[in-house]
Amino acid sequence: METLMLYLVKVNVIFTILFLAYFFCLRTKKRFT
Amino acid sequence: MFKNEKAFYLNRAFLLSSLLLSLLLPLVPAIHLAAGGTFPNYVTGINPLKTVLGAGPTLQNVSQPGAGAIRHGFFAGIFAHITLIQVLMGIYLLVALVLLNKFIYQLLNLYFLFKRSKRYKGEAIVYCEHNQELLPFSFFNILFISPGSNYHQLEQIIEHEKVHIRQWHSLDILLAEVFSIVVWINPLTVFLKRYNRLNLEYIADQEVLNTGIDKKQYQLSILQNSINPNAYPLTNLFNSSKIKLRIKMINQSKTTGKQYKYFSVLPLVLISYLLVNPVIASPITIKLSAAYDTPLPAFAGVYQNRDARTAFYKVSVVNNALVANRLDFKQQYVLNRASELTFETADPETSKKIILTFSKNGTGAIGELRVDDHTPWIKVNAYKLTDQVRMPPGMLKKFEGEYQLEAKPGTFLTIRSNGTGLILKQKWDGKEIGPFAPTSVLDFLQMEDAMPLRFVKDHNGNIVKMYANGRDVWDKLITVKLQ
Repeated sequence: METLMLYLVKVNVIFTILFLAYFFCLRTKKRFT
Repeated sequence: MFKNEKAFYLNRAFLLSSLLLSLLLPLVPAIHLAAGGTFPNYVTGINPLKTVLGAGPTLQNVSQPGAGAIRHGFFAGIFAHITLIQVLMGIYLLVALVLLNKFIYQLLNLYFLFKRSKRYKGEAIVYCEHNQELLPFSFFNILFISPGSNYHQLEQIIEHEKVHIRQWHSLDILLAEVFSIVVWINPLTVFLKRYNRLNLEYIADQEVLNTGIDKKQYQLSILQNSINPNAYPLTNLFNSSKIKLRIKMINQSKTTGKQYKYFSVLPLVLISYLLVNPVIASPITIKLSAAYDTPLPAFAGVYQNRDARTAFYKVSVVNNALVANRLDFKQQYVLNRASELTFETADPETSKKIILTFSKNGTGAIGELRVDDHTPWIKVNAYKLTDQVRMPPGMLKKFEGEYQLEAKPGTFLTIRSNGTGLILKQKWDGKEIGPFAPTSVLDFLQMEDAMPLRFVKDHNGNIVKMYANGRDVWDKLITVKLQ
């Protein structure tokens, strides 16, 4: 059970880092020209 | 390909990779900078998770199958066995199960619509004609359309859906859905689903516009069809996602992002990995394995289990490596040095790591060995192996019965005979440990883990007590037959 919890915490940490990177750096932002 | 389009595809790849990396990176083992445990210092300072999570399940908790519970348990009854972590995980899994049910329900809904529809097989696309008043939508290679639709009017929409089908966008949507079920506790999964879908719409819009369709006409189609709600959330629907954002994106002439950004976020993958996996790095003063103060031959010798006096380890140096052999039982470990007095090895059956720690006596010589912090093995100069004791089944029966932990009344185990030895069953979790082979008239040993049981008789020759691991005292319960 502890192993599963540890795994889920790790998944959450990695996902949060990568998704925030996507959100703030990569997400295609709208801009009119 | 337009610059924007390239960015959409890169974004799609990034989102998909993020999901897969999030699920797989925690499974990748930690980096060992030096092979064979030459540089064994664990740098916990750069791993903030260590302080949050602790060291995770320790070896003491997970090693030595069959013996762990009785070694570390014996304190708890049935209810005391449920920890806070188990309760929290139970709640977590329950919510995940509810979300999974909802997901399966949505899939089934789609399946039933598919079964009810008239189906026509086109080129790589299955057209499903249904009776519901819905805009065309797609799921994998199935395009759902209603018969009343004016094909000419919906041409652009169908073209849009075909892009989803060709590029397997349903896979992205399903993956994001499944991922959000697994990590439902993370609020970012809501945004993940939204932005994943939005990006797929951008791709489809851009692909349709590339075919030469009038941009204004296409935007008008999106607006006209934006009022119909989506009855099937797992599908690709023309009017899904934010209409305003899509129209803005259609009118955007070039991307605001640069492609170097994609490379600049790559180190984040490494950082994420280092965050969740303990890093094993060399100490500041590098010390070669050959330069340890205690040479390998100093560890060699015979070690006797303090509690199970018939169990012996013979430690010897073979080909410049330390090897531990059980003399009373077929068991051999090749030890890798982890530090001055610590060695590591793995259980050949379960691959679990076992740590062997030697300690020195007052004279500075190696005098004791501990396997995973359990009962110490004392270095002895002379040893005598006990011949295998055979006990008749009738004699073994005398040990059978129910026992109660003296230090914690209400904690029970039962002992039964299997004809040649004894089997112990922990009543609080139903776990069986054994067999325990007789080593003397009142002593038994579980060979693999060197776990001893010693029984005590009263003056009538009846078994009244049992010592497990030479530490825990168990009283045998007397069965009284009522007349």
